Amino acid sequence: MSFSSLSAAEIVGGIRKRDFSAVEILTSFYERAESLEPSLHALLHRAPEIARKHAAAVDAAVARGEDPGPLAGVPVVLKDNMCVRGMPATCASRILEGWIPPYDATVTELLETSGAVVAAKGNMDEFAMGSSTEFSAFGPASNPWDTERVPGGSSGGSAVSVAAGYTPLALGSDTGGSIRQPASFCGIYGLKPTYGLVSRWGLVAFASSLDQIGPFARTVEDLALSLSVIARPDPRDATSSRRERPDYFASLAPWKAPGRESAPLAGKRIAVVKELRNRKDSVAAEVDDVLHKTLALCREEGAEIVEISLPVSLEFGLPCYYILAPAEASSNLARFDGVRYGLSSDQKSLIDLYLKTRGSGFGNEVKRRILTGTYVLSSGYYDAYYLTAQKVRQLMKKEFAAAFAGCDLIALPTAPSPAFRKGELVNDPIQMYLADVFTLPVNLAGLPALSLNGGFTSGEKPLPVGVQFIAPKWGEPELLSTAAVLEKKLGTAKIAPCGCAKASADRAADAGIAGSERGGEI
Amino acid sequence: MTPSDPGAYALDTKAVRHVADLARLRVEDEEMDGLVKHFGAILEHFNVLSAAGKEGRLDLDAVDPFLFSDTEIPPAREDVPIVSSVREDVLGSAPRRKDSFFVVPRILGQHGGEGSSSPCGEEGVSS
Repeated sequence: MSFSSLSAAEIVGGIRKRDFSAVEILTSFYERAESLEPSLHALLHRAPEIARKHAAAVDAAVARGEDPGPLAGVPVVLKDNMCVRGMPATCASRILEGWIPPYDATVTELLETSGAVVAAKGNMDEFAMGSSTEFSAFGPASNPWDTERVPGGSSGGSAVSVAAGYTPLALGSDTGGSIRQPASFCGIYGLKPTYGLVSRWGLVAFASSLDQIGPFARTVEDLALSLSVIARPDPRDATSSRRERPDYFASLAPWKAPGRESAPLAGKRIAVVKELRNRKDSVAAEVDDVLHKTLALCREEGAEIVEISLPVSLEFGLPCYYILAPAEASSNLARFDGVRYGLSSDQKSLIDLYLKTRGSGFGNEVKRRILTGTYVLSSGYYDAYYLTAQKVRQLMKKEFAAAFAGCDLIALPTAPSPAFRKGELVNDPIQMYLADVFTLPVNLAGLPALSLNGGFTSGEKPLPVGVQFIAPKWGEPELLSTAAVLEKKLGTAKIAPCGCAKASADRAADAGIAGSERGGEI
Repeated sequence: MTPSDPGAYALDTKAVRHVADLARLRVEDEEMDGLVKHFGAILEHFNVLSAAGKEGRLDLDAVDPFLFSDTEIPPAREDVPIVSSVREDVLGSAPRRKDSFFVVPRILGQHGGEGSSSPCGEEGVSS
């Protein structure tokens, strides 16, 4: 029996009612992965033995009449930069090949104590540096809507796992868009929480002031469900906020509030960004179209559409990010030295051990970023690059704060284009960086943002197109609420055809309907 | 071509090699052309920030650089002892170990000095 279309909430409900067992759900996960992995390569490691023990423990708890937890029996894919005791964590890099973390990340602990079953580790760009999952040292993942295309990145494997129906839930990390952009390319939900909401302990650091863990799902309810589990204060992460977390389920049905039935977004001001008008040439027409149709839908649901301005963020965010993130990465990745874990080149001198281990263990993109980061931090260049970028970052933060004085949410395309073809940008790193132009300002300002599927491109193989909503700090309830209203209109995220011709035709028909039924221009 | 005028500075092979040494990263000769080209392009991109500052399009003089956690300073952890017995777990991942130490090539040779020839099989330990 296939359970691939079930949401996490439906799986938990079914297990609690004993309609099926956690072991059956897990078996279905591995069967689906087994059949689709040859074409998708979403996973780097499967851990059936460990996972079966956890699933059996959930079934045993249910049999004893105990509460099996809010994520009971839900198989989860974790991006391969999160530690799970006993499972490899390679970060898709040769330099960590063979390393088995001796501890659990905080998110792993929280998931497992909630009954979730970590079933596999997701493919990714090496050390989360990339926007296509093509920079994985173990081979690229494929987009399940068109396997000739990339799934986005860097959390591509996690996104594919959800879009292809292996699992209803996966975690990724987002440093400059690495949850939202693959969510957009794969047609699912992706949430990048406020910096400090989810503990980073046990997440292999890329850029510590920007990294944040968040969920992928096919329903808004599952986003809320997973966020309520992982968004906990953690004394082991000094940047983890101690503030009380709200009830993320409370915001999921705003139409149930008295007087809001027909206009659940009434009173909500959703902003379009003025500068986007000047970027028509760099945003694909179908992306622009989906954004405006989604905004029209928001207006139909009662939202007021306003205009705000983010000139610094949209013009200077990209160079700012590509100075600061590599600077932090060059420092964080200094720990991979061949002495304590992972790859180690056998050399006669310590300096040669460092040079050779790192030179052969890191891939090209990681090397480029380490060198860039080292350069911008080096004596004589620090002020011109790093310090200047930190000042621009401050301006961006203030710019967002000023914008939110006039709106509740900001809407932007998640990415300038739908999924691009494999190999299209891989030899042009700066063009690849442009894929993050609308997502990375959010990380620089420490804000939460959610990408949802707003529609599809036309054509034989329709591709999903994401829309990103950005909220002020700690505004996750507002994001979930808006996404829930739109989900009611657009439907939950669909499982992708995964290279199957018949399914592709069916999805094309669905996508055509979904696209044409949406509202007009605003 | 001075650090105060980074816009005019293009990284050549020698400079890339220097940065790679700082980063403890061996760069093979065949990688060098690609890296020099990349650096030329990315620095041109980065110099947009400084240029915008100079042209007055970004007013950076009066701006303090971004300070992390400037709105919410997390409290320190409670000062309570915790049991930590991870030594074997951690050492278990070591490429080379001896007893409770990581083994690395000898830093000081028999006659002292980094880079002096270490006899095969003689290694230093690092805790």
